[in-house]
Amino acid sequence: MTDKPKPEIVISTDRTMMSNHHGKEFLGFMATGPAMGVPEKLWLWIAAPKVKVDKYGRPVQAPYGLRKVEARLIDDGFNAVIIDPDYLSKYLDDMKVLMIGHHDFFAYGPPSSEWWMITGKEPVNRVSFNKFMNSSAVRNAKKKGVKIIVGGPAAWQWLWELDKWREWGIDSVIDGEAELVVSDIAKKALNNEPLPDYVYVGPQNSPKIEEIPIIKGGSVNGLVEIMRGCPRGCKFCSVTLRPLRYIPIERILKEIEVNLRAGIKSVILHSEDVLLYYADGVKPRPEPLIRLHETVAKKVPGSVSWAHASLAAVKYAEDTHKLVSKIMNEILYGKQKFLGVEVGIETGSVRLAKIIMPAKSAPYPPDKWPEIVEDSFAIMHENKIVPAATLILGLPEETPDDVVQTAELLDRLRPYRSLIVPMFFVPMGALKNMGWFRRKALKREHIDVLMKTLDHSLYWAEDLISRTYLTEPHLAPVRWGLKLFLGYVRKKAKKIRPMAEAIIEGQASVEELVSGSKSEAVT
Amino acid sequence: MIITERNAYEAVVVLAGKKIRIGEFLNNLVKASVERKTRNIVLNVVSALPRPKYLEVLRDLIQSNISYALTIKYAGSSIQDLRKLINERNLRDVYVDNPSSDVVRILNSFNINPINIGLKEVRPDDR
Repeated sequence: MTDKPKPEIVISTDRTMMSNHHGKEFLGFMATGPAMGVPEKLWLWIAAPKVKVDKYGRPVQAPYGLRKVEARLIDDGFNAVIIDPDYLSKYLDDMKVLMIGHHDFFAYGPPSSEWWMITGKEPVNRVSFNKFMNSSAVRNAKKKGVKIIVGGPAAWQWLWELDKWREWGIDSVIDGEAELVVSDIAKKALNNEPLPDYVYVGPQNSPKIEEIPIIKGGSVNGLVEIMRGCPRGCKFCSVTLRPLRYIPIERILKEIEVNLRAGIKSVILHSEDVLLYYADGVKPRPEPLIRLHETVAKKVPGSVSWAHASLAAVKYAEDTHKLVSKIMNEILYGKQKFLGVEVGIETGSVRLAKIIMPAKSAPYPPDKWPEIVEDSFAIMHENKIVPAATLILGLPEETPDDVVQTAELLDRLRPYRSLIVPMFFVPMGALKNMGWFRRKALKREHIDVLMKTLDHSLYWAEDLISRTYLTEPHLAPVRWGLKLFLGYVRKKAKKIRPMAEAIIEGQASVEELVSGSKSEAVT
Repeated sequence: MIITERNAYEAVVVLAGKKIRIGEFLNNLVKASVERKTRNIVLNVVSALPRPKYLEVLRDLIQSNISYALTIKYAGSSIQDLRKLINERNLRDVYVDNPSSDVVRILNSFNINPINIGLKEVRPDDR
């Protein structure tokens, strides 16, 4: 039997992150919205139930990013451990440093900010993180002089919450790949040396493959990284500046073994674009993808999922090599009913695609973007891949005609099993002024797209809940809770439909919808 | 030393809380980094604005940059802190958002000509 750990560095986060979402990654997205139609406690339980822990509060599954930080610190000789938020108070006498990671600390990222804007209610991830930071455990840690260091993909959000930064006594914020930075910062913190307030880790400070540690404990739903970086070269994106690194299969298997030992039987292959694993530029290659899937499928008794894939890669892989059908119908056949993945549609407008994401359609020209989207949705439907897709509305360059083209594309995507989530591009300043957003940013055409995505996702969500995604008997209460929520959304949608249609037909204004007594329709 | 500080281009930023010209400031930092063949930048900030409030002034700069490592440190709020920083670290590049302040006189006494990054006020005659 092991003794209670006495870590000098404790790594933790709030409940919406420290959860395996009932083993269903998509359910985690519910934490990005406010509770709707069901009590907040029930909503939180559906989205982020408590995770299994050992008697010392060490979670069996923890977010992958936290596992990487933990592994780096342990490999560098620190006494560091991930602790579930409910058990933090047991470590007040030991910890000198508290590291907190998150992918959306304040709900400023997509799709949290969109839910927040549309409903006017704080998403539960924000509520939960506030609760965590105000908890007696975190407050008492600070009182005892514990250094608080925060980081992760949402580190930038602290720049917009400087009052909370001060109030909660954050000592340092790390933004970017942390492997080569975190131990030096930890050392400074433990030695009571002054810490930098903000560190943005540049692309040149990215770790090489051999500098990326193997995780020491289970990751949420068996997520393991298969590559870092992206070859698409979009000029606004920092990921593309970072060196492209493919994780060799041997290292992937080592992490899967860690997960299997933790009792996690499935795997989520994580990459910005899974099909570009050892690709020829942006052209997927059959050999490495087949080897990856065959090896992983043999290793895990459970299912295999993809974190992200690009629609162009799906189309190219299938049209050129019949790769998607080979993976789904030969390698993963009999193993699972479907495969889930996040994809980005972003727009149905060729004009806008050329401006905001000229490389997203590669190796096809951006003029073909709507066809690429439609073709890849058809390929995925045919091969039982269920995409959760995003759209971006409200970009500064957007015209009403661009939005109309997106709406037309949505009509063509209706037959394909998928969830489509609209996201609004909003200047950060606007987040402080919800009223402005509702009055000025929402246009007639947006209402049309919002209604279409709502109809699409409601239709397919019911199908997924009952027939594909949540069929296990032990998930019956989750199914029930979700059906309750879907019933609420359907009722609300029915209520706002006449007004929405009047707006779309130009017989009413968005202002009428969001002002006075009619505002209830939106919230 | 953190990896983002190694061989870095290091500068002092004195902030009175005025708006700054982000593009010009970033260009200066990039140019100086290129001259020194580094992609790591360290900014030592002296500001009457308390920690972390001063970051509000630098927020757009931080978010405009994706190519360079950026380490931002708070070095104090007083003239003495500024003197100490320049004396001990021998840093010669100093950016200020308010060139009319006493700070400039002190910097001149170190033979440092500060670089003004403050937003120029537009007077009716300038239009």
